[in-house]
Amino acid sequence: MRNILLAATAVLCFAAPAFAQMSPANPAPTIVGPPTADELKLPRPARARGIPTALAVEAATAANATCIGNTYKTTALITDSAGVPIVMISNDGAAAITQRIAMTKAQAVLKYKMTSGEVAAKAAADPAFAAEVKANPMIDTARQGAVPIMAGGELIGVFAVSGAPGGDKDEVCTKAGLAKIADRIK
Amino acid sequence: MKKSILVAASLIAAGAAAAQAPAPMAPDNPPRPTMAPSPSNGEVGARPRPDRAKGITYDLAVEAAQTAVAACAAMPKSYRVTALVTDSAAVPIALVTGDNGAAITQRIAMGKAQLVVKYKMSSSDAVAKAKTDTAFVAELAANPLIVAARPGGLPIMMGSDLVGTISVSGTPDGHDDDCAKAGLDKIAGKLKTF
Repeated sequence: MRNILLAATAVLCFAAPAFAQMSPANPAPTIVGPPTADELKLPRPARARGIPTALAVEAATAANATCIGNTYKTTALITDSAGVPIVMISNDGAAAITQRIAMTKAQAVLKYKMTSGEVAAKAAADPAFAAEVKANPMIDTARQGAVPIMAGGELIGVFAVSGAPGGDKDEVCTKAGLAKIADRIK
Repeated sequence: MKKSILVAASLIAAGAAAAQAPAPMAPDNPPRPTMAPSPSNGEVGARPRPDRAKGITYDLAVEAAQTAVAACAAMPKSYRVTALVTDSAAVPIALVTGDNGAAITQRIAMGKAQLVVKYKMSSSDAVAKAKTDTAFVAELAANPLIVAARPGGLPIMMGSDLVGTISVSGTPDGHDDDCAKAGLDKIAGKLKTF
């Protein structure tokens, strides 16, 4: 219990400044700041496995189209197998925060190798697991809407949607987007 | 026996000291995350969610980003870049990284977009200004969302109104601007905003 409180406090302290700064004209940034000159000099590691960019654009667009068809302004995010984005596309007018929420869903899938909905269900039934999720600033809270992209039994990416009023409604769009490209994933 | 304990103790001490030193920016795999940490539950639950600033529609944003990525890939050295289209508040609309484009290009592109929105100029113009204006350089360096002026970020204009940005990162020899321009040219005649 104490750990949960500590973790919650840490997360709140971490998140509070961004929250305080948030306004329509100055939303909390989705993408972290650019590298310093020193960081720029470091070797650039090869990307982890992922699906081709063209497929990612097609799947993300299809997911957003499904959600906007239900009047939900969503963000669709596809990452490689290390959680680095390949494509992120927001429907017109989708709230900025949906991009950060989509990323937390992707991180949950990546870390636990299950859908973010399954992570959420497990957290609801297992307080120790919930505390672990809460203590991870990249996840904080598990929310449904992201699924692994699998090829040959291996996780090669993550597909996340955020912006519908409910993770179950997000996941409908994720699955529609994934179905669009499923037979071409290698 | 005593000696080995001492050696072990000093190794542990050294380890602890190393752990306390600022973590080296790892030549990292996985790289430092592109995306910001999770919002708090308070942020997620807050209603109404703030409206987005003005931006171009996402179909145009995707088209411009894909065109920019393709333009860079089609160059003789087939650059693998990230193209980022944002709204007028520098919030992304479409982020597209070409196959195997380096992860760090996403953060670099974001910095260019922040610069364009804040100073209402192309990031190349900012590079030129930085050459003679040390106060400007210091101001950029003090802004963690910008850090430095780097070419490759362009404003998307409708008349005299900045409605967004397009930024490219990933060419090591100065072609980011060319690819961003190719993306912008592709949609210039049909801009529409949400």
